[in-house]
Amino acid sequence: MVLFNKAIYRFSQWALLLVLIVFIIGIYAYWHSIITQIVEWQRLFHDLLATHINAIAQDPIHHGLMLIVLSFVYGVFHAVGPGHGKAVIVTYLGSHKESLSRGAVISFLAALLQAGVAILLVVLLSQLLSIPFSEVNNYADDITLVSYILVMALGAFLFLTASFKYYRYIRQTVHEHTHEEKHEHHHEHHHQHAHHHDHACCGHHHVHQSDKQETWWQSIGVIFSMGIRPCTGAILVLIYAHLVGAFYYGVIATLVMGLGTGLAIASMALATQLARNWFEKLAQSSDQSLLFQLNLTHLSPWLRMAGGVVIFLLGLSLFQAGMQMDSAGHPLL
Amino acid sequence: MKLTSYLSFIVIILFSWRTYAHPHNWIDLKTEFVLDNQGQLIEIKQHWLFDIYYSTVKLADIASEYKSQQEGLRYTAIDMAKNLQDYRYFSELKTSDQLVVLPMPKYSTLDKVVREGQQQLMLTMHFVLDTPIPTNDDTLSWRVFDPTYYIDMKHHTSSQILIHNEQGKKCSTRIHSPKPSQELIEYAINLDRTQKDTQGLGAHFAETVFVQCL
Repeated sequence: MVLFNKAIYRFSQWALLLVLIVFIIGIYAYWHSIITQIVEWQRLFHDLLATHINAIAQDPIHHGLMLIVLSFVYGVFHAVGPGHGKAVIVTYLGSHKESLSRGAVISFLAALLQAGVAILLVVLLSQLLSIPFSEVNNYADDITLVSYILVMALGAFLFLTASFKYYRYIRQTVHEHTHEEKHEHHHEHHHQHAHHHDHACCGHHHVHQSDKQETWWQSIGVIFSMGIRPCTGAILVLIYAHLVGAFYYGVIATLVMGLGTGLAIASMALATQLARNWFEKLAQSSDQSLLFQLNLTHLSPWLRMAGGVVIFLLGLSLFQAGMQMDSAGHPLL
Repeated sequence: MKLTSYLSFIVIILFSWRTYAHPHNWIDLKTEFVLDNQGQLIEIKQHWLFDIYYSTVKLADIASEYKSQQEGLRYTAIDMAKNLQDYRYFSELKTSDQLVVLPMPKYSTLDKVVREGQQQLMLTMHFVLDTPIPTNDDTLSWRVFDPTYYIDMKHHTSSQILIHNEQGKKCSTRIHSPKPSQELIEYAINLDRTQKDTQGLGAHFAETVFVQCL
């Protein structure tokens, strides 16, 4: 029975590998059509949203429902498309161990923050300050630049905390090792014990030692660097809704979009975390487990530092690209 | 099976970094070619139908900036044509691979049109060419595109290309869809919304219209 289960497990892994390969080849082969299709869909969504917001006064129930469904789908779809938020969270969760629920909370809060910022921006700029609507997007661009600075700050913070923790860890271990011989005896015994009974025990012990749950402050930093940037699609819908006299429907649509985006990002976060956990487990159960376990323990702080660096560089490159925007205007904007 | 986990990780990373940025607005194009009695091209009339959002926002700004909408539309049309001059009106007329420089439009208007119950703006620009262009060889091409690809501009079907010729010549039009390279698509996809300095990108995503009259 155990053998049978093992065979199924093996088979399912091979099947998954096959699916992945086919998937990648498929994307490569049909890349052109996929892209043109996405451009068309994006436009279709925009048009449909406009149609239903515009007609909402005539039949609030029908068009309201359609608006909610469309907004949700648009939110999901949009999350698969644009945004630096995904890059941040995937890099962050790939390099830092957060609980699955925390990952989901971060994703949803970031998406809702994004919706909230868009609503606030449109209310403030166009409703209260009566700034031309065509300029609202310029303000959105400014906030976007701020969000890139936040991404950079987050990356730097992650790198520094990881380095600091590692430095303390090294000092501690050096200290412990030189302290007394007895300790080393105990250490060795523990290893052997683990080897005889359960591989996972020892590895877990080690990994958890250095991978405690991250602080809430850090998670809030991730949420803000992901979500402070308003979604331009939402801004468009809000302004349009305001102009046709259905602003509150626009707000509802934006919030539902946020939920859709949150869901999409949360599943992406979950996938990252599962992949990370799976990777950890595989490393622990493989044949050269002992060696690898040790490496993994030592790898963890390096992974966190690398994650910080990658997030910092992402913020930097986005910021630099964003700064170029003033050099070229657009004749129709 | 480390390979699988590696691969799935790579797929996740790849997809998370894929952002779709450009385009942000859409214009539906319609072009009218006017031929003289020798069958040569002498005038081009362009109609740009802006998308609903662009139109609605523009109309609201016109309403707050000008006393009457009529006046606002008139001045905005003039402004648009003036702004577009430095960009060669986003248009590229070629014969035998030679670029034909478009003169300033004889007139430009901005009109409100209603499509499927929605108000949309249409910019019309009327160009009268300095020298007539032959249409009987297979070399006349016409492209209209935003070089930054911030705006997607398309005729979509050849029914959006009209040819006025009194001589009753047989004219054929065909639209060549763009085939941008893999790298260019990657570039466009990874562009950030704030990046407007993407000169040259649009040309790779532009359709080309070929016209021949025999």
